[in-house]
Amino acid sequence: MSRWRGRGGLLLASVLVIAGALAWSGRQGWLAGAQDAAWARVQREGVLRVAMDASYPPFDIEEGGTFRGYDVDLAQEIGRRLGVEVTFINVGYDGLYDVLQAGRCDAVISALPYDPQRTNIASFTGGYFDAGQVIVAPAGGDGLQGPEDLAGRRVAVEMGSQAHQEALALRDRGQVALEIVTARSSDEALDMVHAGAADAAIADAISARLALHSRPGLAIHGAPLTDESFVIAVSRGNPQLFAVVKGALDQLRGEGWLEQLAERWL
Amino acid sequence: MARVTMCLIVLALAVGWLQRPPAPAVVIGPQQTVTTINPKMGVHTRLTDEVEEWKIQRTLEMVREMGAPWVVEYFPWGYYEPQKGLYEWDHADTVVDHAVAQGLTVIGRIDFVPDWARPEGTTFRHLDEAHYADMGDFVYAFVSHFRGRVPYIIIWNEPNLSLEWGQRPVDPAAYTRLLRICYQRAKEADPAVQVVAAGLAPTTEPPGSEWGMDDLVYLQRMYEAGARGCFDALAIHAYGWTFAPDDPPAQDTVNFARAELTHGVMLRNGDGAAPCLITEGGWNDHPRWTRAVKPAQRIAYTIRAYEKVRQEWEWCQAAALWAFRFPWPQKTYQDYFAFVAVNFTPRPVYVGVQRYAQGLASEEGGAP
Repeated sequence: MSRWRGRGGLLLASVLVIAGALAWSGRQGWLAGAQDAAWARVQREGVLRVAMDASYPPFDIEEGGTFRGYDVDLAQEIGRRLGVEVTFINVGYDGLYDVLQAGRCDAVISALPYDPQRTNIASFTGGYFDAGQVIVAPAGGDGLQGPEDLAGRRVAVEMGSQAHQEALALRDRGQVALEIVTARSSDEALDMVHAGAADAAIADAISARLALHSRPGLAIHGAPLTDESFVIAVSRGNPQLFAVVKGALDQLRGEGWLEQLAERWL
Repeated sequence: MARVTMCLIVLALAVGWLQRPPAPAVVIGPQQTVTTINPKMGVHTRLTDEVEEWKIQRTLEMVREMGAPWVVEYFPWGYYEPQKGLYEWDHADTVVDHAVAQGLTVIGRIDFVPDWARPEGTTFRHLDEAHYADMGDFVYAFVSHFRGRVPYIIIWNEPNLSLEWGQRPVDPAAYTRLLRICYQRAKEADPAVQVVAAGLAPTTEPPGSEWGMDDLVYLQRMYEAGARGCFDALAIHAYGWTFAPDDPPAQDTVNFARAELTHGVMLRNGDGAAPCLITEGGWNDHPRWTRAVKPAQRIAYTIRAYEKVRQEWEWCQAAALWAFRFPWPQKTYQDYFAFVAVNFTPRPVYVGVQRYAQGLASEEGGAP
């Protein structure tokens, strides 16, 4: 056991050294000849250009030219820690990777799910918010801690949604004998639980967290059933910019700042 | 001796039977027809990146079962001509053959510039004028190959957006030159094929915007550049966002009826005889997206839009709404454009539209 702990410690130390070197290289312009153009420009001009599709509350909102939301606060905090200002570019979702590839922005922060098909053009940070499917049921939950505890319960889902597909997978492949009740929206599914017409609901974490404000007595039970984490994308051609953005995000996660941000907006 | 010969024949037959090619896992099946009260109904499918043939077949079966006789599908040039003059039609053939067998009329959208036809570091929407002839060659090859199976082709997509024009300033005259070349090459391959000018992104971008040009202004500039006669029909993207289909159109508003303003530009340019095809459009029922409506509203709006096209817009041949089904979860509001979930579960809008196409009164109050 102690030997294993020793190897783990060595691994941890290595990771810290590499992470530190990356962060330091980004901040100090180490190996200046190899410095990527985007990071050089951000440092020179003191501006980080962030693209978002600002039509997705509470993450990305634009009203009268003013941007706000979870992602806006996150971007500005990253900018603050990098010592630069942040400007926002409002781009339709379909165009986010294009403006990144064309160098019209430095990073995409836009409730963006990790997309393995885009790894040829973008580097992705780890997730900063998991919007995956969660179980919502009355607080206390009568022993409800995970998906296997849904057996024998009436579970409301929005018809045709990811939650519906997850419920079908649990029932048909996971051998969890739950009864599926379909609703026409996730709000309607959550209302059914609130009214006692269903024992539990499956919904995405954003809908669920927002719903709890207006439906007292309900709670999220257990860990998300699926991983639908939002990530930050930086062009693959900008490794130093990526390293410093990722470093800042990791720091925010480690400090518990992301949790506070989620509480603020959700 | 005869017995030995007979044994050899039987043995040869047995060996031949054992070594026969495996039966295909999916068969095209008998010719189907679409039953619907509205022959203008359509959807935009997303089968370009769908790998498994049974999923392609099931998707198109469900389109037929919903009662939509039209499909728009994307045929990326870069996928099918990976090297100049080398054409690989296998996947496209699969999609088209299944669509035709389901009794669907295919409108093929062509764009996506291959690597070899654009400078390094550009996006697949970047096409320099020096390579317009290459796209013309591809159009010729596509129309020749799919003669009689894909009767409509759309040249490019939303060229009034900088994004769709390779992140460059948009250029209606340049697009018109591309359209002219592709029209000529398509007609050389098959005079009967219908060449459709690109659907423009409905947008109210102000003059001088770096992101795009108002679609109505762009279309007028195309006509001024000589576009009349370079296309047989015009594609329209008719998104409703949060507005009802009967909300009146206005130059400064993006809604479903903006299509009437687009058609008005055609009339003013003496091109009223050319039909329109809605090749994208519709509503989204995401719970939070600012451009979405409630699921029940979406059903009612969608049915009313199909009915409006059937009864009031004689100049519009078809309305193919976005998007029937995605091959995998997008995990964004895009999923809420779908009629059918990734695993083929019908979404409420599918059920509502299917009832409408069967002539049954919709529970949402839509026509009939």
